[in-house]
Amino acid sequence: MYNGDLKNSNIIFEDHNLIVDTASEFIADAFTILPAPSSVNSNISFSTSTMGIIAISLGSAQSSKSYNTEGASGIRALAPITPVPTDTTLQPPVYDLNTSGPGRLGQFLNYINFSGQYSPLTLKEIKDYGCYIPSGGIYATSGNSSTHTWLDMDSNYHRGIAVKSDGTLHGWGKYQQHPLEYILTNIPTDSYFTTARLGRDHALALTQQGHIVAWGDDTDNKVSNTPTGAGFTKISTTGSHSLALDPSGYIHSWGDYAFRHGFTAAPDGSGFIDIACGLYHNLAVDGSGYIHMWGHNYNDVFDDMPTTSGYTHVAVGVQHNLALSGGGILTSWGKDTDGTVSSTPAGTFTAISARGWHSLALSSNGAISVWGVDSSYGHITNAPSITGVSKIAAGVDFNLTLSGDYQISGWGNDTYDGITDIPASGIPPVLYQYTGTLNDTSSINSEGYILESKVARSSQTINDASAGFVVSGVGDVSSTREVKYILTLNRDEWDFLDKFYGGIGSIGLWTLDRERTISKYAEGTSMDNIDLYNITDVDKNPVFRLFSKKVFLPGGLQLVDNTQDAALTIIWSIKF
Amino acid sequence: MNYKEKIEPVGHLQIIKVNPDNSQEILVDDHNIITVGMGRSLAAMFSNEDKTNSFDNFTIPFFQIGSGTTAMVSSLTSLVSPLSSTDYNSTEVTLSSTLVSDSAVAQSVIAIHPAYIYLSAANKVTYSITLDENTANNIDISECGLFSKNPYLQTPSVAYLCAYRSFEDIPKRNSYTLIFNWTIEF
Repeated sequence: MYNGDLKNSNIIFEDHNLIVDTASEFIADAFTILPAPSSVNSNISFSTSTMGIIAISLGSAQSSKSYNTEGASGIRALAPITPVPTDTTLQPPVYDLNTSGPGRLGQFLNYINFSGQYSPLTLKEIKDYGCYIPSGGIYATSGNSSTHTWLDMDSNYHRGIAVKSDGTLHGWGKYQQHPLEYILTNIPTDSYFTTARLGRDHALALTQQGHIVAWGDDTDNKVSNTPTGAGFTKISTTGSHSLALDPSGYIHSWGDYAFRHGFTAAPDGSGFIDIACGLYHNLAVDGSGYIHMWGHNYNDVFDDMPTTSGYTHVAVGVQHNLALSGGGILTSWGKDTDGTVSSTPAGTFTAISARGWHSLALSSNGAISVWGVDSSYGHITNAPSITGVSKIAAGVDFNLTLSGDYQISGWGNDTYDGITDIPASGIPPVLYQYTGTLNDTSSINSEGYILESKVARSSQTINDASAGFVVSGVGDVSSTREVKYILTLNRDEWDFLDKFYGGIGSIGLWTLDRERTISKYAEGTSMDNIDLYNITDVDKNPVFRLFSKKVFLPGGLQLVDNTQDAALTIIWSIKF
Repeated sequence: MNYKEKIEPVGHLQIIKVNPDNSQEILVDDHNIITVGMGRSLAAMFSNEDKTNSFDNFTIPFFQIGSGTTAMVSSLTSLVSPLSSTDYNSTEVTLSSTLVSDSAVAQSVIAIHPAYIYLSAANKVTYSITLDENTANNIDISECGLFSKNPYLQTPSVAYLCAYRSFEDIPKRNSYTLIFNWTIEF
């Protein structure tokens, strides 16, 4: 009854499937059903078939999740990090709520791109939808494991440190005044970091769960007194002491007592939102946007501190200070050596950094401004005229920028290889956009289930199976008692599933839970006529019940044919 | 969640004799035969582009009794000797075509009241049919069947035999009632 041509096809898999025990419940329910379940609004009717299979789902070959009856599965079930794919050049987007370690969320967001723009999801959205397939197409970035970006970086005393997108720390450069380079030789090798800060002869890093890890020289207990516990949100260090903000916004300080507390005491109380640790003094911003200073008031560096509110970020040099307001306005104060204060640029900015006797600021278009005391290395005058910078880090006489989240560049003093040894650029993710017919709004609902083609069953051909599944045997199954559900994936769609889900690991057929679907509609006298394939209100999407499933192991169904016209047709036969 | 390889409906029939003093006697308590019509009805249900107004065509609303006996095999499509409308002497009797040797033949069937079709478990449907003191008297009943209504939406409608059971003659008299409790487990 179909006109489709499958003469050039190969059967790559043929086997029985499993029927879910609740399928029996569906049939029993169907054999006792009235036009509407008696317990809900009987005025609601369906204009779409509700008696058979109404959706197909595809599951990841990397997923350890099994189907359940309520629908949190199928293509929405994302792969856990282990086991990794055999081909490690292909990493599916990984996020698993049950087994995720810290940072999976960030990794997930690196891979999934909605409508061409990064759009952070809430944890609930990810839990509910996993890999959400928006109408109009699937957007995702390359899953190639060689793709990496830089999450954070810092520079200080001719050295740099950066956190790779896989959570590892990478340090470079040398410290000419110290016989033992504690910081670079003892750098932690774990892969759960998000932030790193360099002191003079010690360093700090923040893990994805907010633990602080310190290493290097332990004079003044600046390593051994590092506060413990999770949830720290910010860390800062420059010389011989350090600061951190805990989950309640309390300021913790440790290391050299004089500069962190001895001259003037650190502010008490919770709710601080930013901190900046200088060589001899410190800055913080409280929850109302007021600036606080403490430590050694060397050369009256505290003078002229702003007393108004509205600040969000602070940075500190040796004898000057810098603050950024919520509106992006810069304010500087302290000792005005060669314009460290008076040359502060006007305009609006998004980030600030300061060290030594100079400062950096980042404008909204990613351009950088540099001012203060220059050196013979030109760390002020040789600043590149670039845009697209996402992070800045001021060293004492050299500076670093991060462009496009993947390229670290520097200028200024390279005597100790602080610039020469910058690690190779990350590989920017490649954006894949799949807009095959399968992703038409008519074939995939907002929860990721593949619905039946909207072509009437009596007119369906196998070609219609690329816009949702089709049903064979209409009106002609009396002798065979066999109903076939057919879905075709084009090469792009199959390729996508290969790259980002490690292949098709499972497929499922779903029936309708009529009662729970109708219960989403108004009770009483509502006269809704529900067309399951044309529901625009996602809150009223049908509730599915798994009827049967098939799991492909190991490795799933993967695209092995490199020809451009390869496609996959799934013909699923249920015999009664 | 559990899984199984096949959809294999099974059935169980219990025939109870209720005497005037309300004492009860179980005459038959045994499995039945699921016939080919069940698979055909299910396949039709899953393949048709059904809309609300034809839901009941796929359910099992008809019951039939007969006086013949035959070997119980799944290929059966009809009873051997179904009763006539006169034999039933019941207002619940209706006429429907059924398949006899692959031909549609009009026969009398009892329309089971929806109130007596119910979920006895999540995966079980029980049909309860009562032949009271005034119904089908002086007949030696020896077979019975359940029919789906009109799964292929034919005109005129054709009912399909889904479950069948033959047994030793049960003489129906006006001195007692027979209750058929028939449970299909999917």
